[in-house]
Amino acid sequence: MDVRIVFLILSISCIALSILSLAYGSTGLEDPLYILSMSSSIALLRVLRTLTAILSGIMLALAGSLMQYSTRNYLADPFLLGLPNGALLAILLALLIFPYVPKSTLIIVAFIGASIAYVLTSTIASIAGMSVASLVLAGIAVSTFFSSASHIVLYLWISKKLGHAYILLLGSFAYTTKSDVETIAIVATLCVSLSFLLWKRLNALALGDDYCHQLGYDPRTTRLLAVTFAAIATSTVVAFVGVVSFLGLLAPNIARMLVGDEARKHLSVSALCGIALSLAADLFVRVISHASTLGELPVSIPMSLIGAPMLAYLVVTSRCRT
Amino acid sequence: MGTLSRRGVESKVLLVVAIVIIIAILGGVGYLYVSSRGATVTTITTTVTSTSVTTKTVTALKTSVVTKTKVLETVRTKTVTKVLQRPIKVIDALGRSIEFKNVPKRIVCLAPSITELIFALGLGKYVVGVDSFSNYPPIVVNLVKNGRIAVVGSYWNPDVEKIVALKPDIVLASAGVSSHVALESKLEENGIKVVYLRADKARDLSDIIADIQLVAQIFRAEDNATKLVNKIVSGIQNIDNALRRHNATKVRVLVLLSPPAYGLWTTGSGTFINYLIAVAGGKNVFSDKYGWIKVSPEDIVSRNPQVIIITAMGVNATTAKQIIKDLLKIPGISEVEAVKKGRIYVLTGEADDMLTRPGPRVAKVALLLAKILHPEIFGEPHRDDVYSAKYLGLAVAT
Repeated sequence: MDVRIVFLILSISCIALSILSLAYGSTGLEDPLYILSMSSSIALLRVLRTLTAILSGIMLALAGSLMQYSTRNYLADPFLLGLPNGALLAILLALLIFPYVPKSTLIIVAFIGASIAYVLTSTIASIAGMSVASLVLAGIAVSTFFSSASHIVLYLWISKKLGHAYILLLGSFAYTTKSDVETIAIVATLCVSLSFLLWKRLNALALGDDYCHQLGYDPRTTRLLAVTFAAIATSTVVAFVGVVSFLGLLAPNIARMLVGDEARKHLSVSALCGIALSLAADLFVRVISHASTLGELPVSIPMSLIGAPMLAYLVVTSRCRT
Repeated sequence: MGTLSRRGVESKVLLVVAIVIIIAILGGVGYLYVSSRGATVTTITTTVTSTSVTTKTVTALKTSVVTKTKVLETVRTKTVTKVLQRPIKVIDALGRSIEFKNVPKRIVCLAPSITELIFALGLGKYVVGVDSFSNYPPIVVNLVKNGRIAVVGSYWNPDVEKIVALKPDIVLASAGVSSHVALESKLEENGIKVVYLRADKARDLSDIIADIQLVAQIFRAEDNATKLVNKIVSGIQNIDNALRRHNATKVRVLVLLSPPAYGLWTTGSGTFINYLIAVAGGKNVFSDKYGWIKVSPEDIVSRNPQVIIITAMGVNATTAKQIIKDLLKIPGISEVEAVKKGRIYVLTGEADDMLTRPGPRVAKVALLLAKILHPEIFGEPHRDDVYSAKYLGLAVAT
């Protein structure tokens, strides 16, 4: 498909979804311009929520893309490789010891957790031969381990003040405050700009380690940089929004289908897909809350509903390819 | 993967797109920053009410006859009474300190036991929002139907936007529910005060009374609170007195929190139900454990309960029969005394709600339990939400 058409369609759908996200909420429809005038009490909620969804969408999509470049594996989603669950466990433990730690500090804690999870996953996978399947299987092992450890922590210390942690376990765009969004925006800007600066290296890496050397880039440094940015992006989202499943798998793969994997095209389309997907998932949650008395559902529910079939599709196609 | 020649030689347009995304993010956040600084956001401001009452007392015409001359002495007293409502400071169940300059007038309750408490204190007319589980007093259900009270999501998942849209002065939440605790910063950002009650975390009478007093303090409803507390305490004392008078022995009780088909969930010590059993003259067979626990059939048989109580939602006579039949399928259960004597009860509807929601109906549910455990003293419980194995005509294992 022509790149320009892809961009046009994606941009229009992102803008439309943003407008819808401002206009529609669990309390019904409002004029988006009225919301933007900030004169109603739910305006701040809607604007913050929309911004959070957009920023997390971008970050998770880019994290997914970077992971896929560095592992050269279509299934390398930060969620599948256990990064968010590692980050979550680290946050939970930090909150248990220091209950009033500021949320921005949690990013660093989450980053440590995510890094440990990634190192574990990639070590296990490389021992197993670093095939497409072994990376994902190792990721599932690590991810399950960390998530059950998180559940044990939550279960044992349920009486402690772990409200924030509970929200993180489920993942929701509704709970970020203004200062949170500011912090996410700073990290997101850094992540986006730095990962776009890597485009030549990523292109070289996509061709294989030997080509990468020939083109004058050290594949190991490139990989380290890409994984670090991905881990920072993932842990920021986990620290403020929580575990959002499958977005890092969906966005890069849709981008690959649409524009291929030339880094500049791929990263920008992936980011746009991320925005559209997270806004759509959040809108789904709000429709449920508006139409029923169920209240806020975790955003991972709609994400997994689309993500899991996508994973199945990718597994099937990757088997056909080999 | 594409060919080498295609890589890195695409038009510059794509780089521009990346920059546009970044600018869009910065623009969005910048807009948020600028617009909210313009103070157009509706924040709820409270003003100190200070009424000044000026009383002028004129004590006039103090006549004293000393001589024939009449001395007119005028004493003028001026009293200025300044009535200043002092802000009320409370400490909630999470140990947070909250100050109220005015009595809150718009209340949102996030748990059924809290709704019940507010209505019991006569503050029902101020309630603007409740969770979807709130169904007592029955008027709540009608008010929700009429649209006079809004539903702000379920007890487990309250919706921030629905709460904020109601513009409440106060949100009363449960300290025992993580999703309620998580709401704190988000609601405070919107200028809404949150107070956490022990609510569903309440373990005994003192916790319930602490909740009543906390609410009474905020709403200056101390008189109603005293009446309510006295009523509850005397109700519980009556049960205790009757048990003492008859020298009642403690009955071994097992409470199953769901139909046996969903797993054998029961309660250890440190819960409201455990407290109620003790008040009603019983002994929880699992009081050596702590909190909500899942147990095995072996545990139950070895502890040999004399009464088994099963709580379940939306049960009728047919399903109650089925639930008891499921219980009787548990291997070895026929050895248990409760089964031999047919003392198995299924509690549903209001009876179930009262048992699982620590609140103002604590004396009422304690009496119900006392009737189940000691019918010889208090008489059989004749309620249509309590099904007994005897009255269902079930052939109990012989």
